[in-house]
Amino acid sequence: MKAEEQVQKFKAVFEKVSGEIGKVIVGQKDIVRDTLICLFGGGNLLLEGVPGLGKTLLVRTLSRVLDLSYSRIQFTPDLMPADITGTNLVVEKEPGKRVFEFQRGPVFSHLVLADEVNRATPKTQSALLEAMQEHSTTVAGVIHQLPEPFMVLATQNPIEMEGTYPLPEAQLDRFLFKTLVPFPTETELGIIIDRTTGTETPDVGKVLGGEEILEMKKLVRSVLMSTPVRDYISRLVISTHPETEQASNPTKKYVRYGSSPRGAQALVVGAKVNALIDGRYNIGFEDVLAVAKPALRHRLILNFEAQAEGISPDQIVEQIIKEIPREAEKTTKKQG
Amino acid sequence: MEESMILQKIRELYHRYRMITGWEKIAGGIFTGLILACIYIAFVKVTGFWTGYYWYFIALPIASVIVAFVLHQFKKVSFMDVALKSDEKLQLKEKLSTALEWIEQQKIRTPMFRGLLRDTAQASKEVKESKVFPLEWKSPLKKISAVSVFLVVFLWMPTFSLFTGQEDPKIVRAIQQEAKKIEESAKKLEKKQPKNPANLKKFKKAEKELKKLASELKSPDIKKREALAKISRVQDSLSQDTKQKADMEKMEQELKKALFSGENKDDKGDEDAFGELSKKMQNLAEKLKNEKLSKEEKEQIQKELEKIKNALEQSGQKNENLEKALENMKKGNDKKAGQNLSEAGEQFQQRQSEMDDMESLEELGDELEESQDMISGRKMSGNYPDMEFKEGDGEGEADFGKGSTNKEEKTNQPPSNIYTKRQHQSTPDRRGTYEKLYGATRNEYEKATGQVKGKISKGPTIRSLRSNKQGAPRIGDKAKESPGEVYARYKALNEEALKKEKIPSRYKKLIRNYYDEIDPNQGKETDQGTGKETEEN
Repeated sequence: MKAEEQVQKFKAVFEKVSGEIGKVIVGQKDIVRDTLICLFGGGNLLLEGVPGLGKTLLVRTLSRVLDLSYSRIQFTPDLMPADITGTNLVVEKEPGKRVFEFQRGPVFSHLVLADEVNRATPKTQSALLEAMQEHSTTVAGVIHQLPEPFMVLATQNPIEMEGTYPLPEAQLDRFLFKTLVPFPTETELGIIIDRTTGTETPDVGKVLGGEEILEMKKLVRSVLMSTPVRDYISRLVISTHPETEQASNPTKKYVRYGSSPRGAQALVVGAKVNALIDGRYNIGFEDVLAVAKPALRHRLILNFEAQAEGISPDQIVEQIIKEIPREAEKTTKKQG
Repeated sequence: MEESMILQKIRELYHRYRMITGWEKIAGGIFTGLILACIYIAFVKVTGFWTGYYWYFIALPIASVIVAFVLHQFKKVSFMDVALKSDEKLQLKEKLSTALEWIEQQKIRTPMFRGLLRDTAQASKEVKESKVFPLEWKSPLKKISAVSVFLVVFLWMPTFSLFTGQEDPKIVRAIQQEAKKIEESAKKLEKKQPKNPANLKKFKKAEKELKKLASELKSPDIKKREALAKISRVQDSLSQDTKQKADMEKMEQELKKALFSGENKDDKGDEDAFGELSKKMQNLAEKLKNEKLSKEEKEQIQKELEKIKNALEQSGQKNENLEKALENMKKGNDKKAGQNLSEAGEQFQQRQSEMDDMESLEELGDELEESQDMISGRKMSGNYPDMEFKEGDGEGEADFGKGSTNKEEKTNQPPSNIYTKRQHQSTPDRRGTYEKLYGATRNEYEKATGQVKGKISKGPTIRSLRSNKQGAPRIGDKAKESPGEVYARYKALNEEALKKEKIPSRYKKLIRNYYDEIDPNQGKETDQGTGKETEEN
């Protein structure tokens, strides 16, 4: 298949999946887009928003649209790691003969919804670390591979902080994107009321299988990136570190720790998917900027001053984008 | 196929970009040069410092253009830079630059790359270089051109005649006649030997400058403004060499008072104070060395020396030999004192020589001043009967220092006459003038009730207010300052102003004479001395 056809197919599939999800989810186009970017980019997604905005519904709908296995884990303070990963149980195979058999946990699904992820203890939260990064889980010294494609979609509520355990930085870094779910507009709310309180419920069909998703993930990786764009991404990420010379002014003032190299990877992967959605073979500066906020916002650890002044990571990312020039000349000189 | 098409397009874009930026730089250079030229004109207009280098006006823009062109040539721009700029302008989302990088670096030809090549080649077909990099006035260029046009209109055009118009031949003739005079002065100076050999260098320098000035003024293309500026420059140079003279003159004035206090000052007015002092010192030295002096005579000499010492101190100077002589006299060591006085006498003689040399240089400055007057039309002479001066010629050229009205200049009268006339008309009787000045106030006080109308102790009285008032006191009250103190204060201010301001030396003399004449102590001294002054008044 020619590259043009592959790109066109990608674009068409993306639109089709978005359309199907749109039958259930009203508005929230950016959220749906970010979710699909994470899916095709091979990353995990953290959805943050107040209760009732359709976070769980979005993930459930996605699982219905995709021909993939789906499991939901409701995180609670008494949830144990084994409840997620599974455990070895003594099973009587033959009469009198008992053996240990691994009972798979809910993590052994293509799509895992970790609902209210910050309600579980850090020990339980960390059970997802290996699964999210290496797509495998180790139980009793045995590594179990997770099915591909694998994706964790976690939700968290930013308001109810009592009895919650904020996700550690290491865990946050493993999410490709963190998406903030906004409150719907007046028109959107009207449609939501109509859809959810009537007799008819919208029906969605399966439009994409696991094999196709894997192919599309492969296509994403083949998108071209020029050196000036790559260098621009590096400059953006380095400028989030307050201790570096290239640190931007808001970084120096408000950031305690900057983004890890995973931030740069997230920018590139996100930009590549974005370019494919647009029907292009290469990424441009605009693609990077389009995914900069969801890719970096959870990777910036703000200091006390920022919290006191009510500065959000999004504001800092905006300022960094304004301050960091594309400096094409400088980049090319380095090459020469 | 696609690769060569893309490369060709990038090359075309590159050449277009270089051409446009080159033109922008040249245009920027022209306008910057114009601004510089206008600033130069403004400088000439404000300061009157005309160098005579007309080519500056053309040279500055040309130099700026050359600099801009050289900078443009040195600034290296790569194909990648142009590709990135084109991507940005055409909203190609880095298609051109990515394709170029893959082509240039011979990276692996993936299906994606081939797709990009086909897409970019398709897009580049529609690209027109002139649309990507149009010849346009960018914001900085707009600002620079606007400023330069503004400056050209308001500064250059009115002075266009500076380098195109011909000077009036009559004025040119006058300039050349003055050039001859200056040349003669230079020759005289060449023959003249300075009294103090240390000043030989200054004399040679002045002579060289005068000769150069004369030769420059002889040029047939010379213009009035240019000639005046050149003369001013030489004048400034001369005044730099005679800077110390003001201090020495002040010292001389003080010394004159001290030396000739008991004699008729008019008779001694033209005497050289330092010369006289030197003689006096030598005489006293001889007396101290050879003769046995009585105690009274010694005291007399000591008093005289003390007076001279005070006079020197008043003018801010010291003479160590004089002080040593006084000390030795007090100790009774007359011979040593005599030796000290002899050395002091030599020093004063040297100073006199210095003064004379400065005087000679200052005279040259006065001559140049006169030449300026002749050229600018401030002063007319029978030497140039064919010269016709238009009304207003030379107005605004003269500068008599801060506070002057320059009214004298506008009358086209010789300045020296005006000053002499004013001096004699306005101050025929200095004592009377002083009394007139304060008499009116005194009369008013005499007529006044002396108290504010109203209830007593409900407000301030005139008496209480008067204590804060400046001016003449009421009859019977004690003055805060004596006339002598007021005079000394004003004289000191005057001396300071004479030093600071640029005033022709002959006017300085007039001003100093005026102050000498209104000196309140002078009258008393004269009364006590000869009494002639009182009789005249």
